[in-house]
Amino acid sequence: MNRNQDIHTVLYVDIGSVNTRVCLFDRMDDKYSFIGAASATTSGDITNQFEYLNVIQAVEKLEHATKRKILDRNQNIVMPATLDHSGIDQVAVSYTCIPDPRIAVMGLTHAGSLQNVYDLLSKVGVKPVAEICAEDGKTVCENLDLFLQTAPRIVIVSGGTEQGAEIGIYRLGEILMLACRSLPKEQRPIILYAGNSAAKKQMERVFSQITDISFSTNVLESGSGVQPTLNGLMNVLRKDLESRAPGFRILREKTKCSVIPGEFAFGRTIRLMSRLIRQNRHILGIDIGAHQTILADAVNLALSLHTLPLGIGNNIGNLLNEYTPSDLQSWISFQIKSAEIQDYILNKSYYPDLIPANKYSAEIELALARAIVMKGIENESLSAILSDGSLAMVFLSGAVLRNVEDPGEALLFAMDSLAPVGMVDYLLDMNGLSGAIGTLAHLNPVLASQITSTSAYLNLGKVIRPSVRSEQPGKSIMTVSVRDDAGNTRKYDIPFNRIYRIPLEYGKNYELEWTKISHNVTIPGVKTWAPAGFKSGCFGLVFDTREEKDGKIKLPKEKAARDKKLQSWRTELGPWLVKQEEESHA
Amino acid sequence: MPEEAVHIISSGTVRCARLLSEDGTVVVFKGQMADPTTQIAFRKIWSRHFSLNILDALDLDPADNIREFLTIKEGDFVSVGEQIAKREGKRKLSVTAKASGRFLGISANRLIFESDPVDIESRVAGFPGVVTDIVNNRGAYLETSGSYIKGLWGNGKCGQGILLSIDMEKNNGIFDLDSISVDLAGAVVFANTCTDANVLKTAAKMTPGGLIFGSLPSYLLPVAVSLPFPIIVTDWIGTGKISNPVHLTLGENIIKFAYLYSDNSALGKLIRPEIIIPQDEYIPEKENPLNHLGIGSQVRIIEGFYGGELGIVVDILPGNDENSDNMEIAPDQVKICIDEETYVTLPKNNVEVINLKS
Repeated sequence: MNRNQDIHTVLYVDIGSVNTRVCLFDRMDDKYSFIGAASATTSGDITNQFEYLNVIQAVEKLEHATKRKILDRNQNIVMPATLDHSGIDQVAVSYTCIPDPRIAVMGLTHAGSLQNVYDLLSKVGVKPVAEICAEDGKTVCENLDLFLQTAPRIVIVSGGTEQGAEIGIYRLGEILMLACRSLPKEQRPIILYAGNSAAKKQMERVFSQITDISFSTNVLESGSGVQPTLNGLMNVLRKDLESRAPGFRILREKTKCSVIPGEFAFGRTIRLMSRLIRQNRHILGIDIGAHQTILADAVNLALSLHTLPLGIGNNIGNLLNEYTPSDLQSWISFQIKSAEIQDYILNKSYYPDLIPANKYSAEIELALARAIVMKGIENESLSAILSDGSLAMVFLSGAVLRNVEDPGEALLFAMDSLAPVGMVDYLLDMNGLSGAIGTLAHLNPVLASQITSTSAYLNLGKVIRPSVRSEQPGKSIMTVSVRDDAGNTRKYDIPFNRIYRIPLEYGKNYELEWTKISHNVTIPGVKTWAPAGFKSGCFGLVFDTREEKDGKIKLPKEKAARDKKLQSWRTELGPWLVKQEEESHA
Repeated sequence: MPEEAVHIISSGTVRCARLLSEDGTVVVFKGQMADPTTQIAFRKIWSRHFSLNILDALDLDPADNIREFLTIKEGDFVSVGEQIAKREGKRKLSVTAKASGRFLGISANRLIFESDPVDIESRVAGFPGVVTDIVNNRGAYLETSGSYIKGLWGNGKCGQGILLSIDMEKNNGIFDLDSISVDLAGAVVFANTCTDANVLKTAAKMTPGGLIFGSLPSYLLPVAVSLPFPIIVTDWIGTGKISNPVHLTLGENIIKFAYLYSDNSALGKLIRPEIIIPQDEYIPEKENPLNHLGIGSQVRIIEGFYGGELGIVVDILPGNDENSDNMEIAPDQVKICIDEETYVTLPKNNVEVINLKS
C-alpha cells in the first residue's frame, strides 16, 4: 500500500531569511486542498534553535487563521493527525535562511570530474568558492593558500573513473589533509567523496580521524550522471545546515521532516512545471527573496538554475555595487533624489522585514526588483530565450511581488524587466507555494501534482510582444480577432509603442486569430497562420508593443518624459478588476 | 536574518552576545571577567604556505624517509635559525629555518610550513562585563548592569569615553564645525545627525572616543568607515532626529562612561552596533590598585594539590569569624573554576588575585 494513502494533512514550511512561512494542505476524497498559510519573522540566534521556534510561531498563527489545532499544550506539533483533525501527518521543509555553504571542489580534470561536479552543484544553485584541479599544475602551497583563504565549509572530492586513476586522488587527498590539519577542528570542512571508489577505503582511513567525511557514487561513473550523487550532496548540505543552525536538527527530529535547500526546491518546481507547457518551450521562474534571487529556466524537464546574491531584503545593499543610485531611478515615476534611493536601500538592508508603507516605497521596491532581474538576465542563456520566442511561461514568486496592491504591478514588473518577445503566459505565486512542489515532489507526489494542476497560482494573463523593425508610434501594426466560447468575435487593431490590453473574463477559454500583420512585424515562436486557443488570465490578453533598445524596453532619457511614460504604461495596463465593457477598444 | 533582541534598556541587566558567524575557537570561560579588549572567540587561518627541500641540504636520496631526519614535529613552531633536520654519521649535516612558521607536514618530500596567521573573524568583549554563558565553538554572552542601545549601523570600530551631548537646541542638533571643541577629545558625543563629510574629518583631529548619531545620510557612510574612531547610527540612514527613547536613554547617562561596539567582520551576517553604558564606573583592570577579589576575578592557587593553577572565582563563601558562637573558626572561602569540569573550594587566603595582562 502506498504510504501516502495514510497522509491526510500536510504542512509545508519555508524558512526564508526574513520570514518563516507555513502552508497547510488537507486531503478530502483523494484530493488535496490548500487550507491556508501563515508566517512569522525569522529571527533569533544560534543559542535558542530559533528556526524551530519560528516555525512554531508561524504554526500558532496558522492555527488561529484556520481554526485548526496543530500544536499540543507543550507547543509540539501533533503528529500524526488525530481523528478530530488535530495535528499533521507530514511535514516538508525548504530553507533559504542560511547563506552560501561555501563549497570547494577538487578534481583531476576540468572536462571530466570537475565538470560533473559543477553540473551537480548547478542543481542546487551553488557556485563553488574554490576549485583545485590536478590539471592546473599549481604547487601544494599555492593550492593550500587558495583553499584556506576561501574557508570552505564543504569540499567535494572527485576524480578517476572506476578502475581508473587512483594516485592522482591521493595527491588531492594530501592537499586536503594538509588543509584540514592547518585548521582548528571546529573550522574543518565536511568532505563529500565522489571519486573513484578504489580510493574510498584509504580516504576514509585518513579523513575519518580528521573531519566528517561522507561518500557517494562516483560522479564519473559511466552512465550514472549526477543524479545518484545528488542524495549524497543533500545529506552533506543538511549536516552543514544543522551545524550552522541547530534549530533545523530539532525541527527534523521532532517532525521527521525532509529538509531541502530552497533553491533546489524552486528549481525542481520549475523543472516539473516545464512538463505543463509545449515541448521545446521554456519556462522561466523568478523568485525574488530577501537575500537572493533565483532564476530557474527549464525546458523538457532540463533545468538551468542561477542564483544572484541580490535580494529585496538584507542583500539589497549589493545593488549599489552593480548600479549607481541614478541608474536605479530609471523605473521610478516620481521625483526622488539618488541619495534618497541610496538611503532607502541601506535602510531596507538593515530592516529587511519592512513592508512598504505607501505607494512610493512600493514603487521604489519594484523598481529595485526590476534592476535585480535585469542583472540576472544578463546571463547568456537567459537572454537568448527572451529574444528567440522560445519562452512560453514566466512564473513570478517572492514577497515583493506577492504583496503588491494590484497584481498588475507584478505583471508590469515582469514585462518591463524581461521584455520577452513572443507569446508568454505569466503566473504569480500569490500564496507563497513556489517551493512546495519541489519540496513535496519526492515525499508526496500526489500533492505536488495536484498543486501544479490546480489554480494555486494566479494566471496574470498572456502577453504578446512582437518584434517590430520600425514604425510610427500609435500606428496599427496588426489586427487580431478574439472569439469566446459562445462564438462572439471582436476585432482589435494593435497600435505600436504602447501596452494594449484586451480585457477578458478570467478563466474562460478564448481563441485568438491573427487577422492582419504588418510586413515589418514578426512574433517569434508564434504560428501566426493558425488560431491560438488559450484560457484567459486576470489581465486578459495584453499586447506589449513598446519600443526596445538592446533587448530592453526603451525609456526616455529626460526624467519628466520618463515619469510620464511610466505612468502612461501603468494606465494602459490598468487595474486587475476592470469591466470588459469599459475597456473595450473595438 | 533580522536579529531578535531588545533594542533599548534604559537601566537594568545588559546581556550581549559575542558570537562568531560560524564555528571557531572560544577563548573565555564562564565566570570570567572581561575587559573591553578581551578576545572572546576567533576564526583563524594561516594565510601563507611555503615549502622547504631538505634532501639536498642533507644529501639524501629521494627514496630515504625524511621523517627520520627531522628534529621537529608536525604542529611545531620554528623560528629563524632553529634546527629543522639533521643527519648524523660521518658527515654531520643540519638544516635550520630561514623563516619562522608552523610545520604543517610533508608533501612530495618537501616540508610544508605555514605563516602569517590572520583572524578571518574575531569577537572582542567591547565593554567590561562578566562572561555568563558559553556557546560552544561560537562565543559567549557577557553581562553587566547599566543602559544599552542596539543601533542600526556602525563603522566597525570599538571605543569608549565619557558620554556628552552637543547642544540639541542649536542648529537642530546637527553635528557641525561649531560642535567640535577640545571637549570632544576622548569623549563619546551624540547628536541628531551630521550632513558634512568635512565635519567628520575635522572631528577626527580631536580624537574623540566615538560619535553617536540618530541618523546619517548614506553618502557619509564611506567617510565614517574610514575614520579611526567608532561611529554608530541608532535609528535611520538619512537625515532626521535621534528618536526619543534613544535620546532619553543617552540623556540620562551624560558624563557616564559609554562603550561603543561595532563589528563588521561576520561573513555575510549583519551585526548591529551596540552602545553599553555600565552603571558603575569601570576601572580598567590593570589600573585597579585594589585588585579586589570578587566573583569573576582571575586568581592563582598558591599551594596544595592545585598549587600554581589559574582559575576564576565563581562564588565567595563567607566563613565564621572569631566573635561568632561557633567553636570552629572557618575562614572565608572561595569557589574557583579551574576548567569546565574542575571546581575547588579553598580558603580565600590561599589564592592571590592576578592580572595576566599587566
